[in-house]
Amino acid sequence: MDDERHVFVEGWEATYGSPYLIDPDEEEGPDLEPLEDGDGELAFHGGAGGFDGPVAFVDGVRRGEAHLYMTFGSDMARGVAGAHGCGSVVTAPGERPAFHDCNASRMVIWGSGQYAELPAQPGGWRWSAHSISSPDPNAPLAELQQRMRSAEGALAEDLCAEGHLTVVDGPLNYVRSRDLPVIGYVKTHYRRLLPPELHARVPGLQSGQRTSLFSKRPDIYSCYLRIAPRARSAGPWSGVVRIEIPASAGLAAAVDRADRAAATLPRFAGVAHVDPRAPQNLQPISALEAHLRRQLGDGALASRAVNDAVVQLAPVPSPSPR
Amino acid sequence: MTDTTPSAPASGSGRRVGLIDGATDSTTQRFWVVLDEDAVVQLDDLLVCRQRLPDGRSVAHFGIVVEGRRHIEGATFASDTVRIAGEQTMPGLTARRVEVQVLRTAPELWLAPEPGAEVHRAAGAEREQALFMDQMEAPLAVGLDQAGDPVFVDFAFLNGTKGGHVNISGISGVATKTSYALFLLYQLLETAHGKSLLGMGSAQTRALVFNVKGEDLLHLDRPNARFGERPDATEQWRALGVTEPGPFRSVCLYAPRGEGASADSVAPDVVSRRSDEVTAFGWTPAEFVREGLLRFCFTEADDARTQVPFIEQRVRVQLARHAYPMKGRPGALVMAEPPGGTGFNLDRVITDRRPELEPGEGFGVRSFADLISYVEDKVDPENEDTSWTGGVQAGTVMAFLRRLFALTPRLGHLIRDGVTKVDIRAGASIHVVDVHSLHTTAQRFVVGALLDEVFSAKQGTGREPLRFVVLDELNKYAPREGSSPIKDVLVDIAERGRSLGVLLVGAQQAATAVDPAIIRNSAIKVVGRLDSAESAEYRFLTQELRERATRFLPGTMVLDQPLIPAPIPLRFPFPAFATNPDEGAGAAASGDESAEVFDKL
Repeated sequence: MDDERHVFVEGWEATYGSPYLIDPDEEEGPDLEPLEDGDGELAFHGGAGGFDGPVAFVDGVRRGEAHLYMTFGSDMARGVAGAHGCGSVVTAPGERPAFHDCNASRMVIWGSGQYAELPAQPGGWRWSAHSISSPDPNAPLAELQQRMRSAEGALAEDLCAEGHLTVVDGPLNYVRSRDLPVIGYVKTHYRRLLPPELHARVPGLQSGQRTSLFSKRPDIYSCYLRIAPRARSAGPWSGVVRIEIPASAGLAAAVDRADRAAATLPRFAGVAHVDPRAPQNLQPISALEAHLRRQLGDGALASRAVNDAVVQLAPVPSPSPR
Repeated sequence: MTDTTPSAPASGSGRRVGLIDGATDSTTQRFWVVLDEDAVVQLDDLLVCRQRLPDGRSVAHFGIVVEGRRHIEGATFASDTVRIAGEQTMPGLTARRVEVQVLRTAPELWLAPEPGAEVHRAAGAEREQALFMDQMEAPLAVGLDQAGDPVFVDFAFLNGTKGGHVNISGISGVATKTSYALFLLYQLLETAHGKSLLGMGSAQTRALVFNVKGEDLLHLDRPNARFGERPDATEQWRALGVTEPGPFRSVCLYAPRGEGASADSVAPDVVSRRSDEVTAFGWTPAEFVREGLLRFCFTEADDARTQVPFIEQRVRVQLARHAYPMKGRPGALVMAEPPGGTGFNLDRVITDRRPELEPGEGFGVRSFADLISYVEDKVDPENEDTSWTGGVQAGTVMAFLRRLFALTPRLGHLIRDGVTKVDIRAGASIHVVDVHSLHTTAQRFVVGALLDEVFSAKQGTGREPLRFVVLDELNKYAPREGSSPIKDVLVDIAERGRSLGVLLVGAQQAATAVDPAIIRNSAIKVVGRLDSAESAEYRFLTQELRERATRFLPGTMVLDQPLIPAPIPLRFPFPAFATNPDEGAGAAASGDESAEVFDKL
């Protein structure tokens, strides 16, 4: 046994936290079995690279711009004014990656079943109004996040249907159709999925290699993929991401899709001095996030506009007492 | 809410090119335009932005593109460019912007244009408005802009009414200073439009052109043999309204009398023209004395710092007092004692009618050498005749004599009986005086003497007919530092010539080397290719143009005129008249051929 001590530094900037959050003392895990190579074997595939078809990257951003309160009688509802943006970067062989279908929406979301519109403000500030039933103080912001994810899912489905190898940032939870081979791209590892001995082998992946597929959920296959060579100072899991692929088209189709992803994604790996979450955060995703944030407009001006709108808002009539 | 609605462009307006950038401040002087994807806009293009003000009024900003910028938005590091454009792994948007300098706001409202407002090309009537053509009483086309459309100046700023004089700067060889000066003359003297601007005085308008390089300008009366090699030139001339460009049709050529010529020969010193095509110019001793030309002999920089001018002035008057016409030899003099009562006022002395004397009745003067001998004798300190030296120190007299002796080989051949004086009042409209082969001292003498004559002749006769004087190397004649008789004449012309109709078309490599009064008094300033060390001195140019002017190709100039608040870059067409012996050669050859054909008939 190697008794030497090794010290590494996390590639991500400290403010972004660590992408490897697995507690080594945690005994419990789903202990998923690799399926692709038989007998629960964890084999490494790919590493050759070379797939060069059209690829689409989908991501979204959201920003809560003001927390709102509405009192009615002795009750109070929470709300949030904010914006989310969603878009994609589309690449085709021989062409520059281009922003595609990038949109931003600004809205106010009320909890506790309440509803009120904010009057539009000069400078183009407009909000659509929505309501949710939950009285949870965090629910409106969660709804904003949910809406962003839904928009991402819808856009990813469209691009995938058009024939792109489509990568959506994050797990596949929000892609409604499991019949489209959209790839989920997970940068952060929260818990151990494979049995401990197989899990320990994952950092051995070389750049462009992936592990055998395992079944994360009945409808989703998953595998680990290293998208960049490990730097000398970097931790074992640096550059390792996990991808998710719908199971709907069968294992063989999922294998093909995983191979394509392994051959394609390392080319787009983030660059350390440019992106604080390199290499896991892909270049197109990083640029897309910045682009979408700009589309959301200036945050301070947005907050001020909400304030102005609230001042203009006539007192909301209280619901009639029971 | 200060909402501004960019109104739909007026009919005849050019196509939309983009929107006023809101990420950069727009000011009353300058703004940036974010270009539409399909728009191609380059430097010097004229643009217009119309907007409606909150109070309902409309305002249009006309401007000229002075700089262009492109960058990839999203590229934070240089290596991002490789990722975006080379490896194609990262997206980025290319932003194309142009900076516009405001030329005019109509109506005159001092407002910055609205960010986000639509910007169109200024075409047709809008282009004319941008270039203030609606304010010009008598527009004269002085070049073509980037798009090949004519650029105008108001003739009132050229003929002395509101302003006068043209000054052209640029380094030798590539700045095409002389070519541009001649182009201007051609526009005025040879085109129907130019003649109509000159009006009643058109036929009597004269241009005095000094040829300082090779025998280049002794071929202006010939078609340019290379004109056919420039197929675009005809089109450019046509754009200027000249359908049949050709040589100058009314030219008189002068060259100095040959230096080595025998005493009685007056053959001109030229090799590229037949001697009968060129007049040998010079001054007779009588003209030299009567016009007091001795003062233009002492023009060295250090002359003014000595007592030499004092003795020169004395000798100048004494020569006039002692001069009698020589019988039987027009232009020659017999020097003898002045009639009793002759004063020392040169202006009065030269109006005296003197009887002709036989050569034996005094000291015969037929040449400059004769004159020097006579003066040498008179000022000899041993003679103790203070009426010639004004009592200056013997050393000063010797210095005067030394300079006088040095002049003989330099300009002596120009002063002799039998030569013809340049007379621009006669005959042709353009008088080209070749001084290129002369020693610098002689060049200054010729230029000084002729300028003085032209200027003196116009005193008190009114502005018209106009006299244009084309003179390169102004720094030689009117340097920034020091004083000299020629500089005095030039500065006088610059300051007063406007109202007397004597208009200087001057040129120099660097404006800083020339007396500031000359540059300041020029209404029209033109700049060709500049030396990079000098360009910062041209304050009337924008920063961009100063830098750009160091990269101008021959034929590109910037013109600054009082009416338009920004200098406008322009080009002028390849001349249809010969501007050097090579270009004139073809014409000469074909001329000879036709002569042979005629001989055979």
